[in-house]
Amino acid sequence: MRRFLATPLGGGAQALAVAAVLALVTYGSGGLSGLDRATVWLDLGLFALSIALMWGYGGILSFGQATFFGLGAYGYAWLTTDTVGMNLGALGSLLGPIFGLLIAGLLALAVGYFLIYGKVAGAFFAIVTMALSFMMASLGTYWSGVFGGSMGISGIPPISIPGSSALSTRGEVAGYVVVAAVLVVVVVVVRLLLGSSFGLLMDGVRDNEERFLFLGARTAQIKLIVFVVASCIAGLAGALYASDARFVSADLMGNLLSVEAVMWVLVGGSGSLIGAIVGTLAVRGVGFWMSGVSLDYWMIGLGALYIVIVMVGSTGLAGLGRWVMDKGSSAAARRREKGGRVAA
Amino acid sequence: MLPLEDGRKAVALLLETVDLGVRFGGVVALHDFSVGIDEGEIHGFIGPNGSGKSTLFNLIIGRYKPRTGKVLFQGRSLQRLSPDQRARLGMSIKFQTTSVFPGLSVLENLMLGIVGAQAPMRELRRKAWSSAERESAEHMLETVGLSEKSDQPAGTLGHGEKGWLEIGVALATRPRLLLLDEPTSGMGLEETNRTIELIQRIRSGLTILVIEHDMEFVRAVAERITVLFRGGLLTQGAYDDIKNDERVIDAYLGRGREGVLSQS
Repeated sequence: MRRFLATPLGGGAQALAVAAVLALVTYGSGGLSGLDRATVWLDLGLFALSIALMWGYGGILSFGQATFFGLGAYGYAWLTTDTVGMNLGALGSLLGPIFGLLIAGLLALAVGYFLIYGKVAGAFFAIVTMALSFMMASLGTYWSGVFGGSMGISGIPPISIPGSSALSTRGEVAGYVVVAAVLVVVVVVVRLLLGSSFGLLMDGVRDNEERFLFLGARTAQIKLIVFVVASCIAGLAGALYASDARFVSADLMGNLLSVEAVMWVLVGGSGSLIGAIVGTLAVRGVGFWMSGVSLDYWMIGLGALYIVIVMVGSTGLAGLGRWVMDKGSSAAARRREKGGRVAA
Repeated sequence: MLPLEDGRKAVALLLETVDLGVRFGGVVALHDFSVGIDEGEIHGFIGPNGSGKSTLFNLIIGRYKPRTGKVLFQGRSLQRLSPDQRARLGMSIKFQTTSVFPGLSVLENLMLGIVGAQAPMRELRRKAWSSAERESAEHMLETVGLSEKSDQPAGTLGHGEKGWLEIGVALATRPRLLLLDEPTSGMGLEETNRTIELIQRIRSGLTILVIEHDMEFVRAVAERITVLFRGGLLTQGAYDDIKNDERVIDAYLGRGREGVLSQS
């Protein structure tokens, strides 16, 4: 069981299980509007996963990943609304996620090339990407012809199939199924990546970059690939977000979301893809529930939770899950051992 | 060395430094340093602290840029090559401060030595741990005597074991030139002897440069010795020539003291 969960398909199964539980809980407690909210949380969970890949596995911390998430969201909006005159209607809604992924990846390639080959690393990388996020959000606010200015872009249609209303009429359910399916596929693909020989190269860069360089590793190239892949996933998540939230604005590229998403990953445990998704859902879900009680208290409580997690250790919810499973499996091992002795 | 007719050099020298020099701030760390290393030899570098030994290694592997002079590897200037490019040409180092991948298993450490230099884009499409690679990693485990610790995180190894692992990782890249910066520092007598055995075992087909303070060690492994003093080359020769050299004794001990070097 545990071995299966560690495989690419096992990761996909875990993501599917998380999505199914979330759907049951939110639909059960809030009906279709509950499911609609959960769809957006799942988009954000996919975004958090991209950060977990880059940070937990690649060792690159960026405080500016919302730049790519937001750009992906705009990519979808540009193809499906009249903002920049590229409205392709339903076809645009199908191409939108791919387009969002591509433009986020291209920007990451350009920015990453200069930063990573320019030997900007560690805390400096986090700070420079943060500045990038700030710049893009400001640019979005002022450049209203392209980014919709301070009003953003509204009236974004959901994903739909051309000539059919199959997806768009039952928007909530279809939207949820689409993002859940994408999430499962991305988890499987990322797990395959981590299990490839390239995953081992990522381990080397994360664990001791300098040692690896002097063994002949192309560390900059490895980091650039990780940065671009993670940013592509962020762009894809952003595009799905735009199709679900139906509204994008320049803050999506800004600092708040950039930093918040890192926090979600921290809550989930930075060394786990599923943990990042669960962390996002936990913070968002509890936040939504608490905001009905008191938004102020929730923000204070959340801040305290972050501090505790950082101080206790960065394994987060995933660490808790592993700890529980270890307890379970060592108990099972003890049982097996006992049985074995009896048999002998 | 005369160029051959087809343009190649008749390379007997694997590595050569020509008038190499570097300074940090106002301090001259190395100056006018020229030395040639024959293919297949084990060459010891000794000298007091601050005499420029580690600086020399860092100039060879490309961590520092020289202010004057150049390094030639297989007759080719390394001037414009980055550290990873130099490593891919066939040189590998064990650092003075032991440096492994602490969070990864011993076997994964060796694996990184084997596949690390591959083109990343190609590795994306390839599953890790082909059987040939696994075999050579396991072979290397045996060579450095860590077979029983193969699944243990490298960070939990003892000091000496980490040193051997780093030598193994450096060897796993299949270098032609291996640089060992104080491979026995912090080791006791038994560990030092095991390190000597290790070097004897791996030396065939390899050229080794070694920095050491332990004279017994240098005597045991090095065929030729270069003595550095205040960033320059003091003298060069076999151990027996070096140990009675007045200048070497002076450099190491200052004037007026007995020659500890000759005690052995």
